[in-house]
Amino acid sequence: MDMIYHLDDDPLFLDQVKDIVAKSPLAARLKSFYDLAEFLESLNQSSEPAIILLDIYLDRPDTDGRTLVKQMRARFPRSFLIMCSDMQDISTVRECMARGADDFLFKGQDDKKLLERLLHADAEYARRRQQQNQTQKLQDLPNLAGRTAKDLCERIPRLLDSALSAIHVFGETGTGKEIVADIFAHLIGRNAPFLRVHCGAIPSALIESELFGHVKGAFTGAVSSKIGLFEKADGGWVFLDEVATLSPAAQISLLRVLENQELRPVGATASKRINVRVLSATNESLEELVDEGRFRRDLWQRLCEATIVLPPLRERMDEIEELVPFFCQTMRGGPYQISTAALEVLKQYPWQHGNIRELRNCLRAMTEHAYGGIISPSAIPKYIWTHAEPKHQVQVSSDHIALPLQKPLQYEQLKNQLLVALIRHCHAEMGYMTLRQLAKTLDIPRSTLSNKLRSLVKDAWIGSEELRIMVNTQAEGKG
Amino acid sequence: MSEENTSENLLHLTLPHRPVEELRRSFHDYQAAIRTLRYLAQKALPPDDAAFEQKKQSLDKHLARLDKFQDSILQPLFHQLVKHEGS
Repeated sequence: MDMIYHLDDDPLFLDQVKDIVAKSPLAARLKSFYDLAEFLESLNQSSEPAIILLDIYLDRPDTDGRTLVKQMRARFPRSFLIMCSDMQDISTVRECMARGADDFLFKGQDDKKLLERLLHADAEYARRRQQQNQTQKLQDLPNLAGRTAKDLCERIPRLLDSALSAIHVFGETGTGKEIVADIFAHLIGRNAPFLRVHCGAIPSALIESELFGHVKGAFTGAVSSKIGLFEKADGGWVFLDEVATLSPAAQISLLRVLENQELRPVGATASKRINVRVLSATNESLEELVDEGRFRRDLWQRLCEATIVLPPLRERMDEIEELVPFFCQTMRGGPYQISTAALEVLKQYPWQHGNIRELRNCLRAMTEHAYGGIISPSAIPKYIWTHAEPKHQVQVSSDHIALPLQKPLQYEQLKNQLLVALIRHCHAEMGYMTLRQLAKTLDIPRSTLSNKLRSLVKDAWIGSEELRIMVNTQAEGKG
Repeated sequence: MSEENTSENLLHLTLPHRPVEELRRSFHDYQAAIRTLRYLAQKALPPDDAAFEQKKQSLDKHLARLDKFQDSILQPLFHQLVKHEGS
């Protein structure tokens, strides 16, 4: 049970607050204290109070309410702290707020106003606790990385607490629509149902029956009545994935449900009242589908009370730096590390066919060639090299060597990248080489080259496997 | 001579100098006393008294007058005193 702690040196005001709380709808239990030591002792033995009422001028030489409020704020960051006084001037109020109080209560107010402040405090404490629970829940949510996911974690609780009854998620395939649904489901928890349906996976002839149910004998094969998804989700949420694939007939039925919060199972003669909020998702723009006449305009407007747009990965390439290490850490057989050079190459690929899902799957494939747990450029599939944007790619031609120019490079990095590029170039020109041949071509002493190659492999500028394919480093001693 | 100056002179004439903190504390104690008396007076009226309604009306009337006196005279006077002493 929530607790209200009240400390005051005036027993009559303690009584007055007791009377107010006793006659109020407040569920919290009030504990009144005349003595500071008893107040602190009791706080030590209890959990976080919902509300703390502190008198400003306590009739004691040492501690007064102003000193206490700072301690209380540090100890109970969520509790609602109210300072009370018979003085009501701006400087006193300002001083209390500066020390961490949430409210100031003038004792001379009538009982009705005092009760209003206590009710407000109780509601605010409940809101803080709920917010804290949601934050805690979000921290517990696995598989979240990147700026966009973090933004969603801030926005979705607000959407859940709002009056919105239909939210639409739009994003290309692989941008994280399912993750959005996971966050909703996680935050809703067991308080209400959250049911998912992939509209595209259900045959159009059955979709109405699946969503809204049917009565016995409604159609051939309907041997018994069936409760639809919307009825099962009464009081909660339905997630309609790929909502654009709904047939025109199902669109009309869905519109009726959203408009009137009423559904009629297939074959039934009467409607049922329901209270369901809808989260829908598509990888096609509903607006464009409406313009093409493939989706009902009224349903589109109804579904998109609020829209969450998930940008494609190519429009948020900076997030790759967070996403790739995250996937490398959490992948089976891991944790893996990715070399800087490999990450740079991945950042040049547009990921337009599968966005984050494509990136994750590509990394999984690359782990096959992660020697020593390090993913180097040699593990990158050929199609990535082919489609990586040429202007940023490490390119070697017979005339020049182009290097990534999008950010300033350190001198040592530049040297390493140059050397790797030159080795690849020599390999392309000459095929498999001995160390001696390569040293001669690059005009570097063989021992220097040998040391350099070792450090390139060690610092993951090039994979040992890739190097072995190009250069016979074992032939060093034979000269 | 302006009205403000007259008022300030009057304060000089009638009230001895007091530190601001002492003034604030006195006013605080006065307000606490009034609040306590108000609370006790309200509690002292037994609801089963035959003339409860009349007595309550009378008490409310007196309390309202007290409020009016405090808001229109005491409070401004206190602020003026604090301002005067602080300057």
